[in-house]
Amino acid sequence: MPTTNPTYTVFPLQTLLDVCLESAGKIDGLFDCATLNGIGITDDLTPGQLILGLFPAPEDLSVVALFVGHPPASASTVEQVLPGGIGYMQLHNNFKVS
Amino acid sequence: MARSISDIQAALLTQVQNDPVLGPQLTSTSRVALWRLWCYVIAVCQWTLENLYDIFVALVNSIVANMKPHTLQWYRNKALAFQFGYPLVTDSDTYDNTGLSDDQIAASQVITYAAVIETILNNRRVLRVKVATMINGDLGPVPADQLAAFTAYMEAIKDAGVSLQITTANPDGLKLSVDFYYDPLILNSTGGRNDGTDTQPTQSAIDTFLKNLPFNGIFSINQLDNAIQAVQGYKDLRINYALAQYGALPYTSVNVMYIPDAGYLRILNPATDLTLNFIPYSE
Repeated sequence: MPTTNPTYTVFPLQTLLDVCLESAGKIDGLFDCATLNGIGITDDLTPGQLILGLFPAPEDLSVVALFVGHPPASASTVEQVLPGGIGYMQLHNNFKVS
Repeated sequence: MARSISDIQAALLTQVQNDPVLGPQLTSTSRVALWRLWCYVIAVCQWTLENLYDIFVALVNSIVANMKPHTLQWYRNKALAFQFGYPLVTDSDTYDNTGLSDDQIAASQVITYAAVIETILNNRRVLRVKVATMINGDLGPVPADQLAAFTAYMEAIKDAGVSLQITTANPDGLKLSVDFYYDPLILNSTGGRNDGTDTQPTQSAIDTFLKNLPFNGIFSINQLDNAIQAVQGYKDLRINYALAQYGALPYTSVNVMYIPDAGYLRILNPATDLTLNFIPYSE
C-alpha cells in the first residue's frame, strides 16, 4: 500500500462526504478524511481545491470504480428566489392566465 | 467508542422488525426499500453524533490531562503502570495495549510495589521513588536491566523540573530478641506446638507480620507486640531489643517505630538475627 494518500481535485458542488465516497467507496472514513485535511466534515469546499482522500478497502474497489469519471457531487444548489410582481413576471413563463 | 454505520443500521433494522406495529408492515428485504434507506439515513446521523462525542471526550481528556497537578500518588500510580519491554505512545505517558492480553500486560508490569516521598538531597528537593518487585513470592530489588528501563520511563513522563531519585534495594535488616512466656499446655520449650502441627508458630507470626506490612509502611514495635500476642499459647512477652539497618550502615535501635529505607524489612538471617527465648509461664 502506498504511504501517501491519493489527492483529489474538488469539483463544483462536491462536499467532503462526496470526496470521501469517491476515494474510499463508503463514507465510514469521513472523520478520518476531515482529520487528514485539517477541516470540518461540513466545511464548504472550493472547486479546484485539493483534498487528500483515503485508501479503499478491497471490497469497496468496485464502488470506487463506479465514480471514476463520475465524481459524486451532492451539495445543494443555492436556491434562486426570483422576484415576483409587475415588472418581473413574464407571460407563459411565471405568469399564467387560466 | 463510536459504532460503525453498519452496526447501528443493523441494530435499527432489528429494532424495527421486532416492533409489533412496524414489523408486520415493513417486510421488504430489498436493500433499497424505503424503510431500509431511512434506517441507513438515521444510522449515519447517529454515527456522526457518536463520532463527535468521541472527539469531544478526547478533547476533554486532553484538557484534564494537561491541567491535572501531579501528586505523589500520581507518580506512584505511574510507577506501577510501567511495562517492561514496551514503548510509550509518542508524546504521551501511556501505553498502547491494543492486542495484548491481560496476562501479557500483567507480566510486563514488573514494578510490584512503589512508594514516592519528597526528600532533600544535597540541599535540593527531590522525589524519591522506592520500588520493589516480586521474586519467588516475596519482595526483592528490581533487576538492573528493568531498573534502567524504568528510570528512562520515569524520566520521560515526569514533570519538567522535577528531580527523581529512583531506588531499589535489598530489604532492611531486622534483629529481634524476645522473651516469650508460653503456656506449657500448648507450646513446648522450643516454641513448637505440643500437638505437633506447627514447630515454630511464633517465628511464623513475626515473618507474616513483616510480610504484611504495607510497602514503605511503618514498622511499629507495638504492632509487632500485638502480632506475637495472637500466637496461641502466648502468655506474656518482653522485647529485649529491636535493631534495624539498611545499606552498609550499622544496626541501630528501634524504640517505637521505623520506616524501612528500602520500603520493606526482613530478618535477613533468622539463625543469628532472631532470638526467641521461650520461658514457661507459671502463675
